[in-house]
Amino acid sequence: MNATVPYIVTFLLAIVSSMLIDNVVLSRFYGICSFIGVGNKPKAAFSMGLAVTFVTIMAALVCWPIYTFVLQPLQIPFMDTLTYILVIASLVQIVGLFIKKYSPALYKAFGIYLPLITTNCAVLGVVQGNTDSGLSFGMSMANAIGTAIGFVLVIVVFSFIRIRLEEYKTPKAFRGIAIALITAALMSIAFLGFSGMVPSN
Amino acid sequence: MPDYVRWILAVGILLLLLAIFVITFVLYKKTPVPKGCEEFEKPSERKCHGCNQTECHFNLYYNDPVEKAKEEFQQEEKEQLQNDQKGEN
Repeated sequence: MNATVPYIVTFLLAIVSSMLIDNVVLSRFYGICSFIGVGNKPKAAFSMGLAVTFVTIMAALVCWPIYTFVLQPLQIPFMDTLTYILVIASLVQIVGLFIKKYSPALYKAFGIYLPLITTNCAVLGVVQGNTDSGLSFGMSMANAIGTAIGFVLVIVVFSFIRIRLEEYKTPKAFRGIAIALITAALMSIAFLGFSGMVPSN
Repeated sequence: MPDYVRWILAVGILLLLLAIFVITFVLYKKTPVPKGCEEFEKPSERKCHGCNQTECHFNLYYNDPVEKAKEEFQQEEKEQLQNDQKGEN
């Protein structure tokens, strides 16, 4: 019990840290294309976020053991990136397959976004970051969960902001992607305010 | 472990993962879409026009950015002309 409580606290702090302080989109600048591309549709943004969450957690669950129990013992850690790409792509296909076959409700919710996530660098970035930082399995999962929740949070907030942006007459040169990038930059500065929230030891 | 053994293992693992990917891809393509979701698979002008999901490969087909820019420019020219005419009157 005594050892478990601090571990749970560390686990939760790791999730909060990955979600807010080290946000995957606004601090680490991964997954920008899906972040910008989702536009002004909060429902589509939430569905996309759900799909990314699913894939990120599954990818972290599968890739960490592959690195630790296959690549490292065989002394081929240089194969990590290629391995992760293929594992993530296969995982997306497998998940899509099960959803198509057994869960029409889930397929309606985010099935069409699954193939788009194969190329989302946020998933690969999380998995690569876990092994490069030498995190334990528990911390890797905390990082993956926090990253995924952070991605959903930011993408949904951004879609609501874009709805408001469309109500105002933006100068012609700034319309579309330009104003979206400026907005993303301002959000990134705002999220800088979270730094220092979780003390690093 | 000798270097050549490590390289053989690396290539072997790569080929294995590629094979798994190809098999899962083929299975995914062969699996039929659930009932009621057939419409999601087919893009259409009605659903895709105006969509900002630039990663989707149907986006360019239904939202040609050059045509879109031309339409916007022509619309603005018309509005400018109307404003000028109103100003003259």
